[in-house]
This record gives sequence, C-alpha cells and structure tokens, in this order.
Amino acid sequence: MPVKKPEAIIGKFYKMKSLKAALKGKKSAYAALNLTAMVDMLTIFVVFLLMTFSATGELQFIQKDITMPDAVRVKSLETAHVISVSPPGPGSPGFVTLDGRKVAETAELMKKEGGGDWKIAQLTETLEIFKNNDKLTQSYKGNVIVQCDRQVEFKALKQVMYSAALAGYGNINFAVNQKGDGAGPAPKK
Amino acid sequence: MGGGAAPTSGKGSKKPLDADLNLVPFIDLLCCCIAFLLITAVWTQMARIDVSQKGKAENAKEEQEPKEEPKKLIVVLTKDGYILTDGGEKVEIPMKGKHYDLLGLGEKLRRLRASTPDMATKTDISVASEDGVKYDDIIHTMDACIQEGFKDIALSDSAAAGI
Repeated sequence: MPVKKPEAIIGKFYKMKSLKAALKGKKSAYAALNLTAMVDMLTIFVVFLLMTFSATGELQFIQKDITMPDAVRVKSLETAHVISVSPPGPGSPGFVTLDGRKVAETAELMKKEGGGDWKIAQLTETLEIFKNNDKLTQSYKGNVIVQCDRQVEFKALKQVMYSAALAGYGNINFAVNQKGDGAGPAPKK
Repeated sequence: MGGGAAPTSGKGSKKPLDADLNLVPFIDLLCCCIAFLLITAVWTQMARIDVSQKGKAENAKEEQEPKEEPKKLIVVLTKDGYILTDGGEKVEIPMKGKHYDLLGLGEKLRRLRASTPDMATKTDISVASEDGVKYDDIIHTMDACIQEGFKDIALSDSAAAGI
C-alpha cells in the first residue's frame, strides 16, 4: 500500500464545503506531539518514586506542630501506642496526647513545682486501660513511642516517662527523624 | 515518533522489517506505576532511639531489691554543659557557645573506653538531665553515646541520678 502524506480527511468524507474552503490554502491544524520527551519525564518520575518506595509504609504520622530532632544511630520504628508532646506556643498551651486523645497540657507540666508528684493521672489511667486490652489480645509488649517536639523541656518529658512507667510501659522509644543512612559511623575503638 | 513502515516499491514479496512501536500503552503503564508509587511513597524517614528508664519509678523498685551494682557511667546535661562521671572523678565538658560540645563528649567517652578493660566492653550508660534542658539536646547526646558504642541508654532526672 503506498504511503500517502497525511491530509485533512474531515472535508473529504463529510463534504463540508465551507470547512473545505476554510482549510484550503491554510497551514495544517495538526501538530506533532513529541512523545519521547514525555516518556523520558515519566521514566524519571518512576525511578525517583521507586527510591522513596517503602513496603512498610508510613507507620506513624507526624503532628503538624511537632518538629522532631534528628539522629544518626537509630533503629527502625515499630508499631506501639504514641504519646505526642507538642510545644506551648503563642496561641496554644501545647498538648500531650495519647493515640490522638488529649491527656494533659504541656504548659501545665512545665509549670509544675520541682519535687512534686510527676504522675499525669489521665495518661497513666488511659495507658493502664490500653495495657489490659493489649493483654487480652496478647499484643502487650510494654513499648510506647514518644513523639516530642525538640523545644520541649525535660521537665515535661520526665513526667510523661514517669507516668508511662507507672502504667507498665517502661520501654520508651523516642521518635526521631533519621539523618543519614541510619547506620552512622561505626564506633571508634 | 514510534517507527514508520518503510515505503515498499510494490515489487517482490519482501515484508518490511521495521515495526511500529506503540508508545501509548507504555505511557499508560508508566502512569499507573507513578500513581501506585505516589500512594506508597514514604516522605519522612522516622526512626527510634530506645531508652530504659532510671528515675523515680525504677528507683522505687530498687529500694525493694537492693543489689550491688557495677560501676556506672553517667552523663549529666546541665545548663552549662556536660558532666561525665563513672562514679568517681567528674569531668566537665563546657558548652561551645550556645551548643553542647558533642565532639568533646565523644572524645572523652572514647578515652574512657580505652582506659580500662572493663570500659572497653561496657555498653550501658546513664544520661541524666536537668529540668530546663531541651529535648533536642538530650537526643543528640544519646545519639553521640550510641555512636561511641554505648547502646544501652538509661534516661533519668539529674536528681534521681544522684548528681
């Protein structure tokens, strides 16, 4: 079959005289779409996204008002109950939440007198309920993840840790942003 | 784009060797891959640092079961810098400007490791902090300790650590 130059076919088959007349003598309305560049772009997208692919997915979502510190020598995150401690700010006293439920205010914890009782009652009680539930489902391990903003003082953090330990969650995992490849330099001997 | 069939002269029975490569299904495949990978992409690499507690709760348990403990290595974070002690001599590592001297702490820990055979195999360390110290500095301190081989970290209050 001979190869023909592409031409306007709409006028040929449907005999639209006015359209034929309009197309005669004018430049073709067709434009070649260069797919090579588009395929290259899509391939680079796929390669980039393959590098960020993770089979485990996002195990934990970071609250928007919490900026976590960076660390190099870290371990991979596991699923556990999450205690978030957000910093007090101009419009908010900062909250301590357990799996999304508010249990205390960070500003109140920072104001507590030194030497007083460190127990956060609502946090301890809620964790005890979770512990009992986890024991029924045999998923209790005593681990809890603390997701804390970098500007929060140790005064508030120690109360959170103490309350968690009282409820039976003595194994604290501090959530951090992984810096580098996680292995870091080997300890020098 | 793609490939084109070579024009045939009409003579002979030779079929053209060139074949059209249809890019449209390939583009569809790439679009599906991109959609799937966008959904499963993890943008923030989160990790954890394990600590055990050595504070009020743990001390209460120890009072019931007193036992002889080996020498403990303690790093105390104060507002002026670090105090490193192994139960005997205290070494102060002052701050560098407004920041804690992490390199200095690392160097001191390395020297301690090299000092005695016991220290060379030691992996536990206690990090104690004063109330006003920021969480960021505590994490960096723990990271520096892990980097020097002390991977069993206990975190406590400076008063509870006895400093």
